Amino acid sequence: MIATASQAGALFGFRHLWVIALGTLCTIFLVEMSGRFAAVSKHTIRGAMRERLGASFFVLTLILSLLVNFLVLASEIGGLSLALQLVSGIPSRWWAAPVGLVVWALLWKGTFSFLERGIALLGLVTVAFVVGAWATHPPVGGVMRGFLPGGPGPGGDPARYWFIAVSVLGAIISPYLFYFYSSGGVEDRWDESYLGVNRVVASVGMSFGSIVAMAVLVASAMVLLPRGIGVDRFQEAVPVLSVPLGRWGFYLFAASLGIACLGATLEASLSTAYELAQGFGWRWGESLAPRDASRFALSYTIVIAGAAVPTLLGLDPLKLTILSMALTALILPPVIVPFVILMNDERYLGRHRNGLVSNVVVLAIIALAFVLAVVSIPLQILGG
Amino acid sequence: MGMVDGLALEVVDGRPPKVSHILVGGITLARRLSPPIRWLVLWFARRYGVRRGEPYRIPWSAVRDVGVNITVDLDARDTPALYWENRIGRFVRRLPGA
Repeated sequence: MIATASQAGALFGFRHLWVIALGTLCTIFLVEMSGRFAAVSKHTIRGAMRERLGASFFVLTLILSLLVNFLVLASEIGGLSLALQLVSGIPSRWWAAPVGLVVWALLWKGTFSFLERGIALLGLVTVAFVVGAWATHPPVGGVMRGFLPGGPGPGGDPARYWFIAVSVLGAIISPYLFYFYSSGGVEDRWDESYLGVNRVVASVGMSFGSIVAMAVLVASAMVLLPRGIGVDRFQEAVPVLSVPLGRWGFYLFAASLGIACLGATLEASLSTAYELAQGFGWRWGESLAPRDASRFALSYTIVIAGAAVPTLLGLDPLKLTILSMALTALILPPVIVPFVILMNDERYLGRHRNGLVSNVVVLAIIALAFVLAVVSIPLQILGG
Repeated sequence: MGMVDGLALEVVDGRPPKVSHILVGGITLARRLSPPIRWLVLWFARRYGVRRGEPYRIPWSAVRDVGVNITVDLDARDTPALYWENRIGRFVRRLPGA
């Protein structure tokens, strides 16, 4: 997210702010539904997809989803290694193995609530971006205009603009988030009394991430755009904080990048294991000891080991990130269409089925997802 | 215990078909997929599986409740449904901190 938002700001100023707002709105609704589904039915979205939509659809979406999860995971391990490179000066490829090992150890020994709280607490450091954006004194009128849907503006390359828009949406509306969240609801033993909490967590939690992303974009627009820095590599985004906040800004940038990537690494690797286990009916749970959910634990072990390889080989994390975001956009339809079926199923949700508003929103998101899927590959070629 | 991967029907002339067994295991699932995946899973199951390529069948008489969840009157530990869980578990246990 940091990567795509800083690219957007660096190239097109505030003109992608509305895209972040749109993506956040979609995500809030889908995350709320994932949580509600888990709390009421005690089933996860992924497990129910298998139960309700059959084996062929499940296996097809599983393969796509695992591929995208793998790319996301590889790029997040790359981002975390790069954050360590910024601080230590040791090239990121040397960090790939230690990073993989630490992530694995956290999953192996940690419980779900420990990881959940840890990520949330450490994530507060990313507020640094909001402080940084504030310190650049952005023009209020310009920022506000960014929230109005529009295009690349005069002289802007439309293919590039829309490619970044698709990547931003792909970064915000991440499938693994919904699977992770609904699994978390089941791990935390949510019931119907949590529906209010769920609504708050979905809207406040997602808005927090969104405000941080908007801050990254605003700071990039103020710092990078005038200097003509296009963010072709992660390192080029460092001035986003180091210009407004000085030496501290540099360290805060590295810390925010590292922690944001660590959180996403943990979520994406767990999500992979959740998807496999729930789809095939294995015993699962991050709070269970690995020996009590052996197939579940083994699957995240293998995935983390594999996803560390691209960084180990020296592949550019930014390229991986952009590729994974565009591919995410491509697989959104099969991920989101089941929501409309599952969220209206009385056997799972009883009287907590989707109302009219939720259904209209989810149908609108599906329409958006189809548009994104159709345009993502041509735009990748033209504007990527 | 796992997912219901398939059903076995008993067909007797002149009578409506009756569900006789619930099938559990990747083999049943694989039979519904495209040939290359099916062959791969079947080969693997014949070579390494506990039942040499036959899915585990739970008689319908053991079924107690059918809803979103299906309850059967069996102890999962006494069935081959957890064969792989246990086999991989033996390996996982050897890793530190498991």
